[in-house]
Amino acid sequence: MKADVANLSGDYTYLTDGYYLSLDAEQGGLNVLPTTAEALDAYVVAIAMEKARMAGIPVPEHQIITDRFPAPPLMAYPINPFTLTGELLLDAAAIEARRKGLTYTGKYAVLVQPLPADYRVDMLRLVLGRSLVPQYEEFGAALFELFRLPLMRVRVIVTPKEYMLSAIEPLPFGQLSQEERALLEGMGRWRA
Amino acid sequence: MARLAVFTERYTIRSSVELTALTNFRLAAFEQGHELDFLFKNELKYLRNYDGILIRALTDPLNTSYVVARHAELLGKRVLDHSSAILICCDKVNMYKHLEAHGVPMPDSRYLNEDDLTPFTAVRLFEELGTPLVLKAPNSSFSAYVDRVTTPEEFVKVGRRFLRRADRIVVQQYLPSDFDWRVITLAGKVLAVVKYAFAPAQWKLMDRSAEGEWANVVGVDPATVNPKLLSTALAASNAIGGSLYGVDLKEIDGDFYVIEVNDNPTIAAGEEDQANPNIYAEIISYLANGD
Repeated sequence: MKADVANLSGDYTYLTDGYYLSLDAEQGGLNVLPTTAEALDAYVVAIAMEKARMAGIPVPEHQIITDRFPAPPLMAYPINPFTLTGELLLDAAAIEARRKGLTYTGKYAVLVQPLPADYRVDMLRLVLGRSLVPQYEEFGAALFELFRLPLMRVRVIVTPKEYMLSAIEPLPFGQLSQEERALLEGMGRWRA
Repeated sequence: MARLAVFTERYTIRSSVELTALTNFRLAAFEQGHELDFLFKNELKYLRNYDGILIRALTDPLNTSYVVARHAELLGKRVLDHSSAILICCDKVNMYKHLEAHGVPMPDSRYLNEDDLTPFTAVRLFEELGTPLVLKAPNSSFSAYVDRVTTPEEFVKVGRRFLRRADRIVVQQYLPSDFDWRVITLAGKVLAVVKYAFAPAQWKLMDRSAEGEWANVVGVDPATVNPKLLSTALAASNAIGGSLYGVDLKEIDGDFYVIEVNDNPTIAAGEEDQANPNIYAEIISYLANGD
C-alpha cells in the first residue's frame, strides 16, 4: 500500500484529535493513512456496508430505517451527529426499550443488521491489517486494503459459512497490547 | 430522460418557501423531460433507481445526507452535494484551511486545540487579530457555534464550551460590515447572487444555523455586480471543489472577503431565485446531463 505516513492514533472519529492529525497531513500534501474521507467511509456503517459489498467483502443483510425495526436479534447503528455506537438488540423488549433512544424519537435514521441464525459476534483487532488470530489473516488484510485504517476494531458476524463485516470502530493506540505493538515494530516504515 | 430524486427530510423543510422551491425543482425537471421523485431516509434502498440525486436536507458527515452523497458516488451517480463538499464545508477548520491554501481573501484565522486555550494565548491573539475575536466551533450541529469575545476570560470560557464536542476551534479577526453577499455557485459557475441586510444586534443569526430565517433577502442580477465579487466567490468555490456552494462574502472598501463557504445552500422560493429564476433549471440540468 502506498502512503507517506500512517496516522497511528487509532481513533479517527470525526472532529477528534486523531481526525485532525489526518487532516493536517492531507493539507501538508502527504498521502496519509487514513484520509479524513476514508475515516468516515469506515466509521459510518451505512457507507462501509456499500464499500465492502462492492469490493466483495461479505456483509450482513442491512437496511436504513426510522421506525420499523425488523425482527430481532439485530445490530443497530445510529446515523446522527452525536453517536455512532452500535447496539446489539437481542429481543423485542430490547427493541422497544431502545427505539426512541436510537432514533431520537424518529428524528434520525438507524442502520439495522438482522442477525442470521447460528451466528456469533467476534471483535477483531487489526494492526495494519494483521491480527493475533491466525484465522483472520485473509479477512483482516482485505479490510485494511479497502479501508486503509492502520488500527481498527472490527465487529464481525461469524456464521458457519463466512465472516461478515458488521462495523469498524476505533482502536486507540493506547489500548494496544504488547503483542499488538510488536506487530507494529516489525513494520518500522509505517511509523508516523 | 433522466430519473432524478430529491433527498429531503421533513424536519429540514422549515418554511413554505423552501417547500415551494422543492416543487420548483420538480417543475424544472418536468420541463426538461425528466422524472423527479422525493426520497426520504427510510427509502434509501431505492437510491439505485435514480440517475441523479439532489440533497435538500441538513448536511453533516455523520448524518444520513452524507450517506446519500457517498452512496450515490459509489454507485457512479451524479449527486449534489458532493460528499467532499459536505466533508469540507461542515468542518470550519477544514473549510478555512482550503481557502487559505488557495490564497482566497478571508479573515485572519488561527486553529486552536485544548492546549492553546489559555489567557496567555488570548492576549497574544487580541494583539495579532484585534478586538473582538470571533470564535467558531467547527461544526454547525452545535446549538451555538459562533461567538464574539472581548476578554481573555471570555475567550477561555467560550473556547472550552466549543471544545466539548470537537478537538479544534477557529479563532478569527472580526470584520464589520453593513451588508453581506451570498453567491451561489455550481461547478465553477455563478447561479445566483443575493444581498442581505445586516442586523448588528443579531449578527449571529446571519450564519448557517439560522439558514432560511434571513430577513431582507434581495436578489441581484449577477450581471450588475462588481466582477470582483463573483471572481472572489468562484475562487473560494474552486478551492473547495466542483459542487453546489453558497459563498458568504463581506465587502470592505471595494474588496471582498470570504466569510464562509456553505455546502447545501438554502434555495427558497422568492428569495435566492428572485433575480435568478433559472437556478432550478441549471441545477436540474447538472444532475441530468452533467452540465
